[in-house]
Amino acid sequence: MKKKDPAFWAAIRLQRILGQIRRRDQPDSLPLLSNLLHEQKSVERGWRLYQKAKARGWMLTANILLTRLDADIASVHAASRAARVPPRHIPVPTVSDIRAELDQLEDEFGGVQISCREKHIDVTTDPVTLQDIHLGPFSIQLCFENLAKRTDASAFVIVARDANPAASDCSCTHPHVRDEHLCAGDAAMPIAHALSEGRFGDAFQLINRVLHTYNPGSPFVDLDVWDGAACRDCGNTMPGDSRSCCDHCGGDYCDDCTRRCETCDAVICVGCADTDENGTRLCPKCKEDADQESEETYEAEEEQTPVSDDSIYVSQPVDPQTQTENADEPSPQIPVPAHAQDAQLPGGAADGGGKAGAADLPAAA
Amino acid sequence: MKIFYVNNNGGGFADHIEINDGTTVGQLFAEKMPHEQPSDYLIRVDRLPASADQVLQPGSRVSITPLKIEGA
Repeated sequence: MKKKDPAFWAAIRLQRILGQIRRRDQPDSLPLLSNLLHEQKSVERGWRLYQKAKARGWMLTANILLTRLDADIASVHAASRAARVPPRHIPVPTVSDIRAELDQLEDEFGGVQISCREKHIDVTTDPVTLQDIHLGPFSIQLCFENLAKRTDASAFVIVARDANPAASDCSCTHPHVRDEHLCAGDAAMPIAHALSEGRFGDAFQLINRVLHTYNPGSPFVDLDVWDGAACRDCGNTMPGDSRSCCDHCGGDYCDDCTRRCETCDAVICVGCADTDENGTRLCPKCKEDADQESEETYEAEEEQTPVSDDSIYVSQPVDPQTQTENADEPSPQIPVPAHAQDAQLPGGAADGGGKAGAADLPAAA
Repeated sequence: MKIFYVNNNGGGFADHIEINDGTTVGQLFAEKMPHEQPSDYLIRVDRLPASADQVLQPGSRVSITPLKIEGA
């Protein structure tokens, strides 16, 4: 059994599709003829009325009808001219013409894949690099089912072979391709004409040229932020060279959402930033160190401070020899600072003896 | 003589046109694209690359496609 030639099979299929499209889109000349007939009837009616008016001697009416008749004749003239312009007849290309188009794809793109089962034609472009960003080669697929429905750029599927999608939108593999569909821009009309006329080589080449051209005016994702990441705090997309990494949590943040530790100069995000009691901005590590130091200082102060919240008494080291083990024996006198000697304490003597005026406490047994 | 001329610039054009015998590819380009440079276009004759001095024959198929076309 003779092996099927994919290119010949594809050419036949494409010719059938183009024939169906041509019949479907055939312009209807009936509306133009009905318009002409309508204008002709207006002329006939106007002529009858003019004859009646003239027969009855109504000259003023006849003059008015004559003016209207003149306008109706001009309308007939215009309608007949419109009905006579033949629509531009574009013949359906032959199978050999379409086969030549597929051979041109072979030469232009270094190969063409034709899938009889999946019914599409597939070519691969050269690697695309736009503004030093490598986007890789793209596969341009013309799907027969899509072509039967619409003869424009949407009949094509654009697949990234070595995808380098935008950081903010993984469905955008090219500034002008999203969800594997090309936004053709200036190429939209020439692509549509090329497809409807069976110039498949031109259609594929037009798409190839769009893929190799960057339009900074209206991309899906700007190349300036192609490799950027979203700020973890505010969500804005940052260009690759203007993002900061928090030294504590490791997240990517924009410049507006990062701070610097005033002690160690580390970069920290707003969420990790903290302050000490003096309002100094600190990273978590410096904050921890500061807290520990503060705690140690506090403990040291606590050890040197007596258990009394009376601020006039200054802690003095206690002589071990004067410590008494007998509860009955009086406690040793604590020297009182000179500035406190005149202070009047409620329930106590000025000399701080603590005996005069104090309630006598029963001695411990 | 009559050739088939395809211009994929702008809105696109594809139709038979009359040209003088002995017209070269370069002369046709200069006539149809007076303010453009050939180096900015892919020029094909009968679906093959062509030089500027190639003489066109009756029934030749000439196509001109811009190298840079902006998408949206």
